Amino acid sequence: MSQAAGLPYLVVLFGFYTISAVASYWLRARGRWVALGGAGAALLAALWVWSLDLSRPLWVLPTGWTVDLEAPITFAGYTLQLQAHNAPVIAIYLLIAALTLLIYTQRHADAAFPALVWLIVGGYTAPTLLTDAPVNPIIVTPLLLLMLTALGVYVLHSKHSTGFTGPLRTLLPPVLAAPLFLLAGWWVDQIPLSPQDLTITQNAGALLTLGALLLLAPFPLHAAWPAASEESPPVAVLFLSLLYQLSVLYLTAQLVNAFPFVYRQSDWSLWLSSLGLVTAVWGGIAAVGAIHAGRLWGYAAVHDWGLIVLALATPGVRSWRLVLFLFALRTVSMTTAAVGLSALLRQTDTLDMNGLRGVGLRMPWSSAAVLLGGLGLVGFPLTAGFAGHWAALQALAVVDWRPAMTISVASVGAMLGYVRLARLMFGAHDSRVLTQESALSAGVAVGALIITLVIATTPQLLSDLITRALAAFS
Amino acid sequence: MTLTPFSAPGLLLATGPGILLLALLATSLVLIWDWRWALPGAMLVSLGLSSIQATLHGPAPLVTLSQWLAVIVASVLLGLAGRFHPAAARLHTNSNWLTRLIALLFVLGAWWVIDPGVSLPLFTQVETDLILWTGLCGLLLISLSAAPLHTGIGLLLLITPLQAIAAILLPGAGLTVVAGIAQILVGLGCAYLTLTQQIPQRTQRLVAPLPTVTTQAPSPTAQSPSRVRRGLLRLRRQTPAGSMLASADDSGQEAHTPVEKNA
Repeated sequence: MSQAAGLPYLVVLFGFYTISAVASYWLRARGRWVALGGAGAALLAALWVWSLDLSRPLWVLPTGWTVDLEAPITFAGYTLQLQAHNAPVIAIYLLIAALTLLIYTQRHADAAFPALVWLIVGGYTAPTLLTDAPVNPIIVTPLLLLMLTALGVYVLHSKHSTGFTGPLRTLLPPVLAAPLFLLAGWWVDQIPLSPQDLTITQNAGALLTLGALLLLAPFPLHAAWPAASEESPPVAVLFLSLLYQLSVLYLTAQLVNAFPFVYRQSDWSLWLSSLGLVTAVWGGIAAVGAIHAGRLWGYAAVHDWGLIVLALATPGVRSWRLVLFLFALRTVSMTTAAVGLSALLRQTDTLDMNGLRGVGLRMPWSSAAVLLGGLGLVGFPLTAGFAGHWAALQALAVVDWRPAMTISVASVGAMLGYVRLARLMFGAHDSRVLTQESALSAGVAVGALIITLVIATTPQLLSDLITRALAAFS
Repeated sequence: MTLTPFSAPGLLLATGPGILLLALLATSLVLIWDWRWALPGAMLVSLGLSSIQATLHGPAPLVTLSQWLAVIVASVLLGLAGRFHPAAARLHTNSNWLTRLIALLFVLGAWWVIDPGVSLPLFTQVETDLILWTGLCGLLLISLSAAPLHTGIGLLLLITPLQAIAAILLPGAGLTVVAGIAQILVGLGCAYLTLTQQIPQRTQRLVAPLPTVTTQAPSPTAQSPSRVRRGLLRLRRQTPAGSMLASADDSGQEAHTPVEKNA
């Protein structure tokens, strides 16, 4: 372990999180400005972390102080350290936080939200930086995820939430997965004692596979996010679901890299491919019957997530590239939809489809963002998600055309749901709709739509980003 | 084996009747659907299991202390939430006792028929069965409940296997403390959701006065009094209030029951 040559960079990073959280809470009365400032700060920090050159780990400040980028922080045997493979993930966390705070400027209902955003981003940063622990850091991470999910309850259940089923259900996957990881940790500790014993690796592999599956929350554990999409503010769902899913993907990558026996000596491929397929199909089918725009968004996201789980079935550089491509497009589509949904929720106070009749005529940009973002999640042509879905289906069809066809048919279900929503939003309505799209909402929605369309037409723009992030995952 | 205050109850519980008592207590939490029974019961089951482990495996007293502390703090948080918002536990309809019994019997039957043969390393088979049964009861509580308070109690039980594994299988990693913090945060989250539950506004009752019946003076062209009386009775019988009025009229008493209308 290298000794710190100056102030550890991680102290600066966590100090930044703490100061941002405290300042956001103190200035919570000025919600919009706090969110706007926070979004800017998070974006700058994301760019900063993304562009860090770890080959030159020492910074000399004008005051003469030095900042050591790779200096670890150790507490009770747990070591956090910035490394080349975890820096991109932290930058993406910060980018998600920036997007969240930017959307929050439209609807600053819950005053403590920006402070919680900083707290939770800091929380997710910690397990990502965990490089050494008394047991393997991979074994400890689900426990930390459980803590962070418990903190997420406060974000999901604000005073404007209509229910609490979603927040409660988000707790289940980490609660169920954590004991399996700990049990697997014991078996992993036994491997050096008898390296020839295949039973040990088989047991550890089976437990880790099951634990990772529970954390990935495919069907039937998928219900938390669609429920939260209906009950909680869209911006909260966007923030927490993306952070959680990215951290689980990162954990899965670490898992299959550190313990190759997980997918060699267990039914990893079988479980992930079958459950990913069922999740994608169920997301599409359930979306047909959704009568709430938020829940429809949630089911479209479940469909997309099923495809990502399916792509994880055969871990390798190629599939990780596809997974990251799908996740990047998912982020774009979900953010676009969340921009629109937040604006609609602010103006109409409901996302029930009947309550949105005729709203598209008065709020065209936000409504278009809802539709384009949602359709992007199911891979509709000319949306951001199309390129990713097309690539995934092609890769799948090479092996077997039937699952690819099934997913295509299921995605039609979600598309029908969005067609119904579009008819309601842009159809004529007897009663006069008094809502009006604010300039800020229209501006943010137009910005999101432009980004979506740019990504939809030139997805190769993401190539550099994905190549850099791939270093963290493969 | 050194006797600590934590392992003393374990001496009694780490016997056949003691294990059976804890298993029955965990079962009763599913059947007796009252948070005032379920919460102390879940706490006792968790503490009892921890005490049995302290007796049989002898972990460091600090490990058991942290387990006890986490269970007690999480239980107190949930208990305070239930105390300050008692209506929250009754807001959502849960399944009736028969459904819960059938679910319990189904799980028992499935376990007996399938016999997964799960065994945890370093734990005895009886301990393993008790830990798994506790977790299953927690899962049943969560599955059958729509209220955050009961879900919190279910999660308290469901975290018991996590605590046991962290303390016995990976003792030197300090994972008991991490699991304890997670347990407290989960309890705090469920307590928060319990307290923020909004009691739905009851529909306002509109009370409409009954029309007063005035008897008119008989006119020469009017129908006979008996026919008028039969006609009025027919009209009154069209509504429940009318029926009551009619019965009151028959008994010679005035009816004051208001007609209730939903808003």
